[in-house]
Amino acid sequence: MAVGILPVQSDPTLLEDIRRYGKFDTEGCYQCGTCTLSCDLCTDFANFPRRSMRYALLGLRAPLQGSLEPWICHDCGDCSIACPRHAEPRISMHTLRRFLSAQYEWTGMGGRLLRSRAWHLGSLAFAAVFVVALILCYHLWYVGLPVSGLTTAMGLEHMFPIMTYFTLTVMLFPFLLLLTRVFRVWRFTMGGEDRPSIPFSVYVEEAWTYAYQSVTHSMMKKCPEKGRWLGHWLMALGVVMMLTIKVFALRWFQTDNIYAFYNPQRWLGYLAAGFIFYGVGDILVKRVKANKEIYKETHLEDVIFPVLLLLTALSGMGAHILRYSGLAYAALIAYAVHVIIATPMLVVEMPFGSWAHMIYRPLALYFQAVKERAAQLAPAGEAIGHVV
Amino acid sequence: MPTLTINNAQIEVEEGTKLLHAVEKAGVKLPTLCHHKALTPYGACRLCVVEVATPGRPASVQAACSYPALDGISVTTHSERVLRARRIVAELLLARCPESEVVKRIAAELGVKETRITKKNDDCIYCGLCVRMCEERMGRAAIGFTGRGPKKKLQAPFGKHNSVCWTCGACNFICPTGKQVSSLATAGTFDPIRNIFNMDLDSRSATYIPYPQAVPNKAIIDRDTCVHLNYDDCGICEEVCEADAIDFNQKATTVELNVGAVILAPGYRTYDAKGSKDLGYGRLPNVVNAMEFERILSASGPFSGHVLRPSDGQTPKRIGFIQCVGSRDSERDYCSSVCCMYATKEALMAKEHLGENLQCDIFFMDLRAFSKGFEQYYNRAREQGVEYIRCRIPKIEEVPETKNLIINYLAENDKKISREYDLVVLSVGMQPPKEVKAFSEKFGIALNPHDFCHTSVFKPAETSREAIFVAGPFAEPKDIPETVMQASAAAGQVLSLLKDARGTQMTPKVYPPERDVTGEEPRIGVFVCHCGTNIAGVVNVPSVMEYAKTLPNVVYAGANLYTCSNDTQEAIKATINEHHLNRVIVASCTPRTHEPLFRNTMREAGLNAYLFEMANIRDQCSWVHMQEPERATEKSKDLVRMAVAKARLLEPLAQRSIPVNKSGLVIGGGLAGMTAALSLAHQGFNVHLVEKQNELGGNLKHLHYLLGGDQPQAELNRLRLEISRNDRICVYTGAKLEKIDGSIGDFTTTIALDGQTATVKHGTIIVATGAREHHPTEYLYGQHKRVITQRELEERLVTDDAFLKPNGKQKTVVMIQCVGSRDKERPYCSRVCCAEAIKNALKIKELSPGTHVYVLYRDIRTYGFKEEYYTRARQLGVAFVRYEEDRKPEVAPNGQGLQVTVFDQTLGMPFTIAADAVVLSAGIQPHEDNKQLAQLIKVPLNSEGFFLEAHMKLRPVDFMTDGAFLCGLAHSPKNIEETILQAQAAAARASTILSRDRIELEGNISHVVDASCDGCAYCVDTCPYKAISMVEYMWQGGVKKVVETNDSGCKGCGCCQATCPKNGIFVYGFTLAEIEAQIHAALGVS
Repeated sequence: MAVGILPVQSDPTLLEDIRRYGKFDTEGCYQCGTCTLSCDLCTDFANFPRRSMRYALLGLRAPLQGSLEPWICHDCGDCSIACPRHAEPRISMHTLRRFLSAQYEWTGMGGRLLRSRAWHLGSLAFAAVFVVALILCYHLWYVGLPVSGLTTAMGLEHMFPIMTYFTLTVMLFPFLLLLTRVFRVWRFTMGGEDRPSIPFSVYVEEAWTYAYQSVTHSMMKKCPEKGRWLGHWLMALGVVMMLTIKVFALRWFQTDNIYAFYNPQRWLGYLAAGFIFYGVGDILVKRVKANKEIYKETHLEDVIFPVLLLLTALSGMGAHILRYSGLAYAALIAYAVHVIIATPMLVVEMPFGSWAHMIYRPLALYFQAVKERAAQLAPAGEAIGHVV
Repeated sequence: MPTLTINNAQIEVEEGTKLLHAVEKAGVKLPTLCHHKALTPYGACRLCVVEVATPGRPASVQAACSYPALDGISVTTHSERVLRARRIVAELLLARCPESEVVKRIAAELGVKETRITKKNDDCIYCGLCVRMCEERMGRAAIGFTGRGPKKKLQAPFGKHNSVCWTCGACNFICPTGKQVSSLATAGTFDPIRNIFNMDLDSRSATYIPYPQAVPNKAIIDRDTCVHLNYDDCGICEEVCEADAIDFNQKATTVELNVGAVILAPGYRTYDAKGSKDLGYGRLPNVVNAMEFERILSASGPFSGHVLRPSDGQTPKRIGFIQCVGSRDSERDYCSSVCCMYATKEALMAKEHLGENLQCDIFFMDLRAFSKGFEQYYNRAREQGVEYIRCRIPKIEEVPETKNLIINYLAENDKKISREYDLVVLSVGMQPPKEVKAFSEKFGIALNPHDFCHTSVFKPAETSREAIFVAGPFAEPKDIPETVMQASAAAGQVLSLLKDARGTQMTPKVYPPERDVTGEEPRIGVFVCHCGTNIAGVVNVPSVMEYAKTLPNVVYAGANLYTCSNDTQEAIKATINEHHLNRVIVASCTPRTHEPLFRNTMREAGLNAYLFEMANIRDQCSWVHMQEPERATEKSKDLVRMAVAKARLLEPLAQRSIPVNKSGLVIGGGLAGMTAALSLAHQGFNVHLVEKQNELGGNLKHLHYLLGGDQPQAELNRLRLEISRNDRICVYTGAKLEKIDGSIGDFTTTIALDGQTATVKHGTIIVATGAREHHPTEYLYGQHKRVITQRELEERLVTDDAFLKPNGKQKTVVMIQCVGSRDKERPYCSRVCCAEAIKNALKIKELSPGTHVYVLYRDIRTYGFKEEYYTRARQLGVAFVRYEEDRKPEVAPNGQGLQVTVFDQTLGMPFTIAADAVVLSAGIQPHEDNKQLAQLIKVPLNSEGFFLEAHMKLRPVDFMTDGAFLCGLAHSPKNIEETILQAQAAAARASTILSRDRIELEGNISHVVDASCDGCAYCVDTCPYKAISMVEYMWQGGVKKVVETNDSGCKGCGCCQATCPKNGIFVYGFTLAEIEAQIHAALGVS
């Protein structure tokens, strides 16, 4: 057992480091444990927020980097309500997730974006301007400006195949970038010499956890805030449907054909859009109302992704309606806006922003399951629960 | 006036008297059921029937309650005829209500065991008490009888609930069968008047005596609930009171007093735990607050000392205590200081009541056992199986079926654990008194941010307004000894202020002339005490009392609930006069605490105080033989018999007195000594202030700044200056005490100064010799220059600007707490180190915000308002890491700096800190030479080497030796504020002696029998008080050697008497004859 052989070194600068990623207010925390006690998601194997807060307060960088607990936390805010010192552990846990995201990221861009609002908004703006430039170039030198004589209902046919390549790039590249961090997360949280090695078979046996958590978000259902799961799940489902359609069936969708209402080409799209509207609307309305602990203290960073998603869906829907209404020119403009909004969201928010949790959270739950299973298999007396 | 014959005795009664009263007046008791003194006679139950013979007519059987006492009639109360009639009535009643306790008792008294009539199992015996009560006394008539004969029924009008009933519950109260009569008239539930003294756990009447020991022990009328005062009905108490003491016309009056000073002691208010909703107080019946549990534990409490839980009256097997309820949260950022210890005490007491196997768990955050002896008490509780669990509990859940309680807690290793309890006690904190804002405005005093009274470090008993002082928890949450100290300190401050008026408004107490009992046969009165249930819970008090009556010379024996209460003193005096007693025995508790009280009662009754004897049937019997009540009763009888045997031989002793030398000696010139000296001088007494070092100041010289920002060095200079300017204070520096002779009121002390000696005379002694910082031997102290103590750090922070920033680099400072405290060698807490460490940590953060500070601690004991500095330190990022005693941090050299390894209890892992300095919070240690001084003054030390006071709680600044007092670190570790308070308290206590012209001495002292003493001088060496000396005189032509006793020095310990081979010296009140009589009585020989 690694613990007790080589004590970790306390790094007193850790707290200042964490605070660059957001609010981490210890406000007189005296480690009473009320927060952990109030949490429905804690188990004997994964305790938070006290433990995570303690790592940060005592400057234990390696154990903090190696902890999965911040991802098991689903931000319900019960701890902040219970805290007798009003230290708001929920917000500190949120900051820790931002801090950890930056640690997992190897290009250094992630850290910059998470630490600085200017960098974040600047990156989004840069991507948007870049897309505008691409659209202008396309029309100036490739097909000419569609000023008049639009004969088809939409006039999108001309964009093939160039639009397919563009779409694939802005969707798959960020996604693959995200996937490259999986190994880094593993090394921080599961690997390393001072941790007991876990047989590969355990990883295989528990692999279903990853898929299950990714698809169901079932952990969120354990959260006391019940209304949240449906909105989040529908939104995720809508996004996945949309992305799948765009990656695998763009040709079918980006067409000048007019389909009947009952055609799957139409109602699949409507359904996905409906899910997104419902989910995003649910989040944004509750955040604006802010009548529950969980929705309090909303920062710009927390809503950029849902807002962009909403705008993307709205502009896409707008283009669709205008096209079916026969307003071809307006539809084209709406489509351009759609691409201008969607692209920054995909290239910035997915790999560097809060969207990245779609990889990290199920991964952490998976690794946690692996750890727990390994602990059960381990010989008695060798507790693995809190191995860091 | 009618004259009648009752059982052949003539009796005269007033016109209109009912026969029942006439019979009672004749001293005959009749059974009654439907009769009540305050209600009209009813004649329904026929239990009080008597045989009435009118001249010339045959005798008839009549109900005494309603039959008039006529002139010339002849009444027989217990003839066979009436007895038979009563038995028939009893059988009928028993048939109707076989379950009624009252009916069963009456039947049993009449010798009726079983009824021959078919049982009806009714709950109403038609006595009509409720109906009459409701109509006549409550003025309501909400219930009545309907129907006649077998169809008679107790009902509300039309059998319906009505609005006439006001749910007063008088009907339920008076019903002999316990029927809930009010339910006939109303759907409302009867809400009894809650007894505030028992924390609302039981009820009381509207006319009541607040609690058994109340002073004065008199009944009062609750104006809010009294039916007579509010509605002009009832008035029963006025008729029932035999002393005619009820006066409904009393009005509140305003009294105007002209005073020179005011002491505010409004106390505190316990936190209302209903504010912590999740803990369920007020909602879950088995969640009680600590004050309620205190009452549950008390003999005079709601369950008479039986530990029961409220929901079902069952004995709990598992009790959980939750600490910090209403303390140490963000709304109340202070520690209530007392809860850790009272929870520990209550847990131990509960175990005493319910046995070793009772599970007591205390959920706490930091166990704050900081005061003298507390750490040891805490350790003892742990040894006795009280479990301490470090977790703050946010929520309690109830198991609905059993009303048991579930506590989910987080173990220190982060595991969530669930435990079930039968009873949960909330350790509620102290809050400022109610309406404190209006109170403070009335007096024009400032409050602190927590709404307690504002005081300052150097003037801890003073409010912000001149001549208004404060004592007790109103100034800051504190326990009994600290409250007593502050109260004495405040009194001392007032004495300084009003020294010219001292004694001008006093009426000296005058006792009646002492009755000469010489030659009288002993007439002994024995008063046996229940002491609530303290004695009566184990010992059969009536049987002891009856036994006492059989002893020789005992002419009276009685029993009292609390013999020490005020009204009992009056009763004792009355009994002494009535029975012409000349010896009195109280069989109760210890003479150590209560003998003075009873002796005073003796004097008030005109008897010599020494004709009194105590039998200790509590401390030496009921308390130690709890498990064997029968044998305890036998032992009590033995003890009473011994006391009687001795009392027969008691002789009156003379009250002697000596003049008081009106100057005080203060030993030690630190903060405590200087404060005490100034306080005495301000009260108008001369002071000899002796300091062994060459200048005044003591430990205060090493303090440079305080948590609140006050300047200790400026205060030190002020004190020195004030002392040098005060002509009443004579300072001896570089001095050593050689010898202290004499006793209270008249000491003579020899002081060695630079080879010379000075002799001073004084009436009191105050010990203020202080203590010193522990010299650590661990953590590389003395081996590595970067390992220093807190005191050294403080010095460096003040003098060395570069200390925090050598080479411009940020530093890391690690502080280690409890160095030389709370360990095997020194098992006490040094009390000040936590706050000192935090003070220095905050100073470091102030001077160099970038410096990292770690505090490695065991419990952070920032009690009272010091908690907020602990909070501030955490907010400023000071890292607090807890370690266990058996897993201490390790310090190793690491290049220029140090490496500290500590095992964090929460994370369950060790980690290392690269430290530039390690600061040890070295504890406070008593001076090694305390022992010599203790021998000089003849006072004891405790096992740690600190001076031991007379009583830990009630006499915190007195020594057992009269005339000697203590204060400051010599007593135990404490901070500046507490030192000043204790010093002022000691001065105030000393002035209670110095302000007298003469002092009365104890009569139980040794006496030399000249004729028997042959001057062998065995007793001279034996006397621990050095009160015996040899004298020689010429007698019958030769030199006669005998010993002589110094009356004021003798404490009556009896060592001389035990040593003397010739019966040449004895102690009054403990003569050989008296002791012999006791032994004979004990052994049952004569």
